[in-house]
Amino acid sequence: MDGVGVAIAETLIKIVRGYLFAGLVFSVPFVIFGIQRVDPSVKGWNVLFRVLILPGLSVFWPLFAVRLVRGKRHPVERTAHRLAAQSASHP
Amino acid sequence: MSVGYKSIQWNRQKLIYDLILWASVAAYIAIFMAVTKGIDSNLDIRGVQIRAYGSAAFLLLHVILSIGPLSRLSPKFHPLLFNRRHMGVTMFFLALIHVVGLNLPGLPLKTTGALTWYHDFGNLDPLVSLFVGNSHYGDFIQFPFEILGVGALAIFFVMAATSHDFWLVNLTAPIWKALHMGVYVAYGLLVGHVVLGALQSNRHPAMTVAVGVGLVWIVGLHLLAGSREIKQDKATLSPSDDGFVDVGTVAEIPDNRAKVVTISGERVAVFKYDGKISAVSNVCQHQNGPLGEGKVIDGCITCPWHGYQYLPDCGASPPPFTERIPTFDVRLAGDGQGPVEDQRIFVRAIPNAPGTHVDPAVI
Amino acid sequence: MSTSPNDEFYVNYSKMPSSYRWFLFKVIPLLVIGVVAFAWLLPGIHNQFNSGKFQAQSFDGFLVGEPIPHIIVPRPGNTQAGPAFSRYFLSATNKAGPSQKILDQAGQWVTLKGVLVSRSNLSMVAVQSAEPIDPPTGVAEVRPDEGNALGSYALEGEILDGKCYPGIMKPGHTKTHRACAIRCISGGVPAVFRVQNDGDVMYFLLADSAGQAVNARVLDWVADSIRITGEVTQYDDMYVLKADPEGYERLG
Ligand code: HEM
Ligand code: FES
Repeated sequence: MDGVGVAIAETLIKIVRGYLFAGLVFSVPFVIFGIQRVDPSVKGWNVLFRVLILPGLSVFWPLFAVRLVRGKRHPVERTAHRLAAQSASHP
Repeated sequence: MSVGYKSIQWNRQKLIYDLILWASVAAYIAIFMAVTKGIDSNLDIRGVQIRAYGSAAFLLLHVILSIGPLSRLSPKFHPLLFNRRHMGVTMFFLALIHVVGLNLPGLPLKTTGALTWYHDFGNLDPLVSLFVGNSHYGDFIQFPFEILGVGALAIFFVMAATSHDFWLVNLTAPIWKALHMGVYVAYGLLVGHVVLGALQSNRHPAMTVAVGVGLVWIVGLHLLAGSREIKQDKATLSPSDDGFVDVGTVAEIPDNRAKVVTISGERVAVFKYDGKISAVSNVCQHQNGPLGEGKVIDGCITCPWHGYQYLPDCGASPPPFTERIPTFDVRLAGDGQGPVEDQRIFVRAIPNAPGTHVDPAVI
Repeated sequence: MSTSPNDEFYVNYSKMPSSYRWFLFKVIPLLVIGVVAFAWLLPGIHNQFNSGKFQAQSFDGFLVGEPIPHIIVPRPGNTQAGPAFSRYFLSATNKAGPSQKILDQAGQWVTLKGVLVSRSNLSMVAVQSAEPIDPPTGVAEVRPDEGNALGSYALEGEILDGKCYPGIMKPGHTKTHRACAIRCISGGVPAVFRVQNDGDVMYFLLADSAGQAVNARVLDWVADSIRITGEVTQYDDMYVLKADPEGYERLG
């Protein structure tokens, strides 16, 4: 009720909105141009697929921004067996 | 499997699944509203949709949360499991309508959501009002239950937004699964949302009983399924001097099926097929489904969850697919006199890199 | 164990084995019946529906601005038995008090256009417009501030907003409605104290001991179970409970 509470709520809402909006600004060009560099399984021009992943990209966009900048692809999962196999082949 | 993503991969069974799902949801909302109207035709039933959609989402969440442990208890539930993501996304949209209403141009179904209904038309932005309206944050019973709903809705949003297979690959299955474990946090928040919200206003005992029974069912089912898993993982096998682990006899494994044992901190699926034995990591690369509960079909280990396939001798998906899982060296030992069924299977404790070819042990 | 010809296995893109099919034929109808049963039973245990009514209407009456904006309307016909006037408190059509343009006409006779919102014996008007008119003839003199002091009471109940509660909210009070009522009251809709004695419900408008509006000071008390000790005054058919919010007590 008090002005402080309202100010805090308004600020938090602005921050969340700002983050998601920045995500959208990054993601729209990313799904069109950059995505294949991070995940080569993205093939062809499936528009609906790209629209479907937009909301998630708007949340996780920093992850993809970092991968894009570092020129990295998506990682492979790390399970106990995969780690054990890796340490066995590179002791 | 990932050879170029599709937007939504429908096949016949998924289509039937979705149709039954959506018809049930539509029936629920329609019956809920019709019965409400029938209580007294003079009643203004605007605003009742908030309850219809909220309870529909909560009910569907109970179904979603039940399918996992039920599938652990009986594989017969797998046909409900394989397309559970569509249920989750449907549930998110029901919850979203509960909150923001439904007002799409050209769609006759229009309803008001809780945000507009309770917070709009005042002296604050409705979204701000949502957070500052009830400010008893320090109290338990008076706690602003709406905030618990906000938390749950945020979790459902992230889950729905990452439900495409693209996210399994790009976040990797273990991280994706950890993220989607958030559904339990959301369920807890929602129990709070209902107990501290609707149940404070509506003291009909049947409401309280229904929420309580739901909670006991969900928790009980998970404890039951979980206790079985723990027993299995406790029996971890250790290697002997040569680095191989005795996992049992050939006779223990049905044809085209596997025996699951825990080696090197994780489960290994030891398959018997075509008179041969191969061992692979039990963890499907798709959603980390239990490959050892799968079956060898057309020469491929087939995951029981969504049907991803791997060649038993190299742990790779048949081309053009690209999934690869770790494999294990295997060998058989018997005294050469008894029946072949009594031959013992040995699996090397150290896994091979994903996709490594291993000669199957021939029985 | 060796080959069992009936080793059925389900993959979503292949034909469903018959045992699975039979299982689903049993389970899915069960689920659907459950869904229908819930939809059938739940509305019945939401025993909290509001019989609020709306009616677009116009009133000729005397407009009062402070502390509770209301309009004093002469009752038609024989008024020997009861008060000669009815009083309806006012709000705007949104979550706010009547606009300044309307309040500027306080102290005059007006024709007020709005929506009469009523729930059992609580009635109020959501005002759309007001036009000044000449005082009617043949009507007793209005004395806005002259009330009938009924004495001091300690009353237990709940503060709610004067607009959404009688309106279409379900149930329009208690916790689920708290935030909504706070919005209304902070916007200038009169705060109402609802007291339930067995089946009887009484409504009191709230003011402080000096007769001033309390809206901003009661927000933290809205929808909670509280006790207010103060002076009750009857103005025609409207009851006002005067007590300073500092003296409100929370129950339970
Ligand atoms: C921003 C988030 C949310 C807000 C502001 C919100 C608000 C509300 C409100 C005001 C009520 C009381 C409604 C009434 O009695 O008329 C309510 C009830 C309820 N909500 Fe939410 N909610 C939110 C999120 C959710 C979510 C995510 C779910 C479930 C998936 C949910 C499920 C329910 C249920 C089951 C009820 C009880 C309905 C009944 O009385 O039968 N809510 N919510
Ligand atoms: S987990 Fe989805 S197919 Fe294996």
